[in-house]
Amino acid sequence: MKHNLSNAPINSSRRDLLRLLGLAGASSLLAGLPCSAQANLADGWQGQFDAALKTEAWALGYRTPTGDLSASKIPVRGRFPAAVQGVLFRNGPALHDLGGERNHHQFDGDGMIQRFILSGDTLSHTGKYIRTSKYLAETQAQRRLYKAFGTDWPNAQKPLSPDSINVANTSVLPVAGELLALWEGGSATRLDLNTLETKGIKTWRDDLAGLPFSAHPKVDPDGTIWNFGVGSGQGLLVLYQIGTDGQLRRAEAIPVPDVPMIHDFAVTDKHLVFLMPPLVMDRQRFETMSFLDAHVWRPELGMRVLVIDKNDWSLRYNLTLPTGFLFHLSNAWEDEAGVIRLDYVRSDDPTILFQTTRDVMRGQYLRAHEPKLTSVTLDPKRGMATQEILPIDAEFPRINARLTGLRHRYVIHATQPIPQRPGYTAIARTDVETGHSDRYIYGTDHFAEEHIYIPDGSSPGWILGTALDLKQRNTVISCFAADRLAAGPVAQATLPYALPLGLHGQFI
Amino acid sequence: MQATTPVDSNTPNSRFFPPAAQCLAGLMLLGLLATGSAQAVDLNLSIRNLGSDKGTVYVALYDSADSFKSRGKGLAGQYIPVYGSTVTATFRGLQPGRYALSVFHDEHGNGKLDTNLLGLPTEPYGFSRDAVGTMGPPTFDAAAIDLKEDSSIVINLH
Repeated sequence: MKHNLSNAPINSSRRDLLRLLGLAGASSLLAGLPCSAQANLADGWQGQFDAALKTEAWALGYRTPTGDLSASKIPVRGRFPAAVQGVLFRNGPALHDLGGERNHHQFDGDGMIQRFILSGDTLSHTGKYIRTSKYLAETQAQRRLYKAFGTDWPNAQKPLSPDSINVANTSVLPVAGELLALWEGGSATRLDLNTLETKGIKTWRDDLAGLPFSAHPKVDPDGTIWNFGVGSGQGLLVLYQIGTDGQLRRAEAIPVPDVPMIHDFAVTDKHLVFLMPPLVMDRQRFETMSFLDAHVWRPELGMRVLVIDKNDWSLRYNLTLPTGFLFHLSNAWEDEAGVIRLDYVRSDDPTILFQTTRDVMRGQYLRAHEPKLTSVTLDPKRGMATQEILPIDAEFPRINARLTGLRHRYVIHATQPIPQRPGYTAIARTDVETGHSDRYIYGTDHFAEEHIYIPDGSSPGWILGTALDLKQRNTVISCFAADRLAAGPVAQATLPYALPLGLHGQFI
Repeated sequence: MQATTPVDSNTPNSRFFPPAAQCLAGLMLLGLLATGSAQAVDLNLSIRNLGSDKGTVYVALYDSADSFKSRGKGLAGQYIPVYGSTVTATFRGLQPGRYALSVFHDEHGNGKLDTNLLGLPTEPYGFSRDAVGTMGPPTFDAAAIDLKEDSSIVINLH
């Protein structure tokens, strides 16, 4: 597939894909495909999704952009405040179908980096597929070559290493003049901050080549970067400490029996804190199943909590919370007595990972237990761990990044899921001390995506984020006063196209 | 005479890569396995997809699942300096039977297959029949070839 089609409309229908490929002079790429593969949608997922696109407005969020995207001089309603005049990078799965076949999991989509450049009264946007080795090989072949995270393609190769199925589709980390596109199962992918060209994978040290580097690094107020990676098959948790200069300071693999799939973690000023949902890989299952399906839900293990001293990684505490599942934490901090508080978004089980994020790929929606904002208290020295589940639906939690590891009061998060379709319809700022939520309701015809807090001196700051408008069929970016969220956006701009639903971003 | 080779105790204790390949660094035999049998056959290898045009390719030959799986003894081994994009090697005078080969390209010239902290290889490696394992080496059966007559095979490294 050629990706030089600036401003190409987003349409995943097979006919349009073929037309665009033909226009791009790549029709010969299809010559080698068996006729049946072109005509028939071998396992039916593509057909089901294409049918859903005609009847389900929400399916728009899971379409594949036919190429890179760009638009400039987009007018802004209102005016982006000076503190918000900068660049927002977002990442997310985008290439959901290839060669007439559709991924069976949302997280299998090859990543597309979205860059929004905000000035006071105009916006420009660029969307660019990340040219991972997997993306290059598979788009060249016009078919899926590797069994992926959640799709066990028949006749495809088992992954030789995590990076052979690295889709770089989850988040971004600006560091030392580069932009890293992050995926949790393998290396970070280096992008040119200006051109968004893919420069290859990031190797922090020779013996760290190809190691998992999670999509949720944490940056201390002094700029120190902490991250982790899970070695599922090896029972190891890799820890990273990176300096403000982008140079690796320390890395080590520590043994964690039954180490589960871990998506996110938190740091206090003194500790690394891992909540470990009991989703554990069974290597035997991986012989015949996708990486995801090789994982087994083992609720009897509980939600194990691992607290590690930042300075001495051999000092560790093991605690247990009631069993449950999570993707994200908002923040953790500890008081003088060493008692740690944190919030996370908790669901009862991993249905959202095994079914909801899979079903959407064929245009179906199964309502799972929706994650609730949950406050945790940990007393590592006394072995105590308790939690309170708040009656607040939440995902994509963010805090003022300058308070990472320190006491926070507000969590910005998506909220108000609706029964009819996946996703969220509102954005909230919740005061975790009082439980009060201030919110802006985009409405049922919008998917509210992750919103980010942007500090502004001593003023309350701003909240910036995107939403997919299912009625107008385009993506909007909005800025709110952080202390007046319900008053609606102070500035908003509308892209001339719809972006695929993304995951996480950073503002610089 | 058939030769067996010792395990090199300096090779990494990889959690991913087959012990079979790890012991390659200890294999210092050239592939001349003299045998008096009239049925003896030759196995020609062409090893492709090298990581670079320098370093050394190590090849180990196994004739049993046990030796392939364990840190045990290969039947024979060769090491070949790399000067181009492909390396060739021949094991001569083998008895007809089932054999599996493991190969790695020692680009860094330290006599071992480098691995990362999780034990995954960070230098090119491969197996006969281009066999692939799941989070580890393939089985002997997946990599085994039935050698009945003089044969030539290709191994693509990855």
